[in-house]
Amino acid sequence: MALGIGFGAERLGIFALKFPKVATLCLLTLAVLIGLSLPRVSFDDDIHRSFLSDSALSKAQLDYDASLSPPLSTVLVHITSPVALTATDMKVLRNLALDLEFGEGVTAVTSPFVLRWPPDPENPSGRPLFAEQIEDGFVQDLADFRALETGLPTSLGDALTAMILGVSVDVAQASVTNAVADIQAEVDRALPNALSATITGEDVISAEIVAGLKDDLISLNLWGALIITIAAFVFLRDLRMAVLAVVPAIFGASGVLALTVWLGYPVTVLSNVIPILLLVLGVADGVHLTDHLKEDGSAQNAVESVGPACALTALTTAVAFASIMLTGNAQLYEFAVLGALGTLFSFAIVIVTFALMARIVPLGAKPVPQFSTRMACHLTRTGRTYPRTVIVISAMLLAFTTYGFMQTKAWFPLYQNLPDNSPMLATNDAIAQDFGGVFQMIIETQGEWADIRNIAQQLEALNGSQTVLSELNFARWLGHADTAPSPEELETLPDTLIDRLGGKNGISRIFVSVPEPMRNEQTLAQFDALYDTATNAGADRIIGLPTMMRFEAVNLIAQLSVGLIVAALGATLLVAVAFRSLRLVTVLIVPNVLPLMLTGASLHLWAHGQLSPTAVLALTIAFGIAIDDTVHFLSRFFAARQRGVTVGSALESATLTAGRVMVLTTVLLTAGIGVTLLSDFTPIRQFGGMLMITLWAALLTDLLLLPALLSWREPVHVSG
Amino acid sequence: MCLVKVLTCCVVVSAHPAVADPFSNMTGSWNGSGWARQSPQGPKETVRCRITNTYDVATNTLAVAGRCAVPGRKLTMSGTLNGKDGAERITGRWSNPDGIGSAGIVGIQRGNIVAFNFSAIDPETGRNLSQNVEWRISGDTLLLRSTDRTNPTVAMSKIEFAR
Repeated sequence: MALGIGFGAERLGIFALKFPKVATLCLLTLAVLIGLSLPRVSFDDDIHRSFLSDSALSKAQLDYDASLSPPLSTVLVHITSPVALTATDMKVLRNLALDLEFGEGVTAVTSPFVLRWPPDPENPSGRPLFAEQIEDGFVQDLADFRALETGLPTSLGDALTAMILGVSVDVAQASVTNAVADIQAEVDRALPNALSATITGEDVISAEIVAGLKDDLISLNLWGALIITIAAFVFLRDLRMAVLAVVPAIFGASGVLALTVWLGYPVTVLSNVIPILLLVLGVADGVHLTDHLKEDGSAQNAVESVGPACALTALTTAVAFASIMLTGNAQLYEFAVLGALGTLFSFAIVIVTFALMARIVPLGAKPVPQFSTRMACHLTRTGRTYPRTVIVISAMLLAFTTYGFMQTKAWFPLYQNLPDNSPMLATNDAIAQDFGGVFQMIIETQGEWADIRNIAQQLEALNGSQTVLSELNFARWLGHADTAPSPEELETLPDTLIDRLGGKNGISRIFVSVPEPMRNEQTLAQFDALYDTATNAGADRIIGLPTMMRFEAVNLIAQLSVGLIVAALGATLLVAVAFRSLRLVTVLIVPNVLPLMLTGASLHLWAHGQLSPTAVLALTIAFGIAIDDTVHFLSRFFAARQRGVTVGSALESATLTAGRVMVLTTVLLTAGIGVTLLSDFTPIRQFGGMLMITLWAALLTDLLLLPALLSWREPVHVSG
Repeated sequence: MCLVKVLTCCVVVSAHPAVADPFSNMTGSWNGSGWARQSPQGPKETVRCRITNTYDVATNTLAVAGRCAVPGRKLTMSGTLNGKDGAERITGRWSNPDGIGSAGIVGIQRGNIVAFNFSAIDPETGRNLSQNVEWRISGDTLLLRSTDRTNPTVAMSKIEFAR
């Protein structure tokens, strides 16, 4: 018995219809297992891990992280005042800085108050810059200290309207989230009304992003599923049909979330799109199956006729995901495995659930609305009537959009991952303005003192004094910039600071405070200039989150883009093999690549031409959606052709069956995905927007261009 | 670094009670703020402390655990104080690996005042850290004052604690 285009996967549904009790028992058991697993779904709070690969840069970063004992995270408290800080304010803030020392896991607090005058015989570790009684004269003291040109950060803005406190937290003792809660409580308790404070920091930003995405993901999934269900009811005008179309998809998407638990994979900022995608594809399959059931009345026929196409769409999506494994990126491996297995798992749930529900849920007699039929027929007719014109316009559009897509720029805007209303956005910019930035670029060198000094001086010249921290600052403070501080002199500094500045194995580190590299073109140019300067001055390694964002995130985008191309080729080939016609590859490529390129090129209109990881993921999914529509259409087209009808009649048949359902699913999914436009997160809005553009572009190409290609010159030969 | 070593001794002694049932009155959490010097010639530096005392009635022992912070530095400390009912003499022991190490403390209590002195040498610099310490209790306030032992006219610290 031939396997057909679904490679026999639809037989799961046939099995469920033949052995409903066994299938029901299996499904219920699965439902219980999924239900028990869902509360254990975990989210990867370490956003940095998303950038890590097996590159030398990632390995250097991991080595650095492993060398930190204890593992530290710096939480920044940015305090602002509408007017210059007074002596009274400074007293309050010093008490706050000291009280923060008592927080759980806090190992040190940097502030202006830790500054000391250079040592003298009476004060071997120097007198405090801020005396016990802070008087108005502190302003002059500060100016005098700056005049020493040690380069040590004073943690005070030039206008004295901003101060920054750096709280080092041992993350083995306290999570960043808990530390932030403690710090916030202390700040709220201590800060006078006239002053305001915002907490930020590399890991704080990550935690806020992950927490926000987590909440957004859950709410958007729930609202999306609800809206799709309501839309299905509104457009299908049959509640039972809507339930039959949507419930299996929701079950399937839930199964994928449980799969993350069973595989031991936490949900990441990348993989959180997989359940949404499978919900979308599941609903599309559900509508195709349900529509056939409504027309024919037989669950068996629905599964046998539409099931193979649904199976093939699952297989193409699984192949698309699996192909990402070929990129060799370790971080993407989990994403690819979850996507591939999840797609197949979700399909199995959808087809079995549909089959079982179809047996017991009777559909109403009310006909499906005809707007979808009219639209599908109109488009197909246009394609058939003007095939050359449609093909030429499509080819030109493909060339134009491909050019546009190629002009997009790999870009990783971390700030866009923060909620729109996050105070961190403005705070991070303000910190960049006054203190260099929230992020720490770390330069490692094994060179001599002259090399360290040279690198540090060049970086200071480029980035500004007080934004570069190295042993050179302390050597200047000690009064001998030409020679390195002795071990005895360094012992007067906190151990954690010594460990960070002068690592083991003769490695010295220089820390440069920088803004997010891809905050804008200017910050990117500044980062690249610092990077090049450090490299040319003899730095051995340059690491830190900004470096990871600058290079590894861009590399990730490149890897995902390669994955996208491999996925497109692999899925196209699979469909051609499924239909047993390699010539079909040429017919498939244009209708499926055009929506992808169109969506990609549209980034110029609404995303400044920036190609972010989210955008590439959306494009990968876009291709999945596009080819799924094509599979359903071709399945009906070739089924009709095998019955011996003409190309024109086969197109008409495909349009009246698959075509009108494609219109319906596009409308339903647009409604469901539309909820993403309400998100507070730019990437989620972008993701949803790109999917909607793709859905409609895919619909137009499949109902306009595909019929034109199929009816142009000669029919495509298909062997049965 | 000397400053925190001195504080180590001051704070533990400040935890000693001077009332009829002193140790039990000392139980609980205390927040302190004030100043201290690193050396008799050194400037005053702001200090804030948080300590928690636990009293064991059976052994008449007060266990002290807490932390103090000066800008850029902080230390963790722990110790015990033992008393005998009806006797003025008190004894104690303090442990601070980052400071003076382990030191014995002996003093007297009279009225609402505890006075004592201690001898300690900074193991790293060899500097004499010896001080006279006075601790006074008044309601929910504990006041610690210390002077340089070689020149008692020089105040070394003043920290006020409140519950």
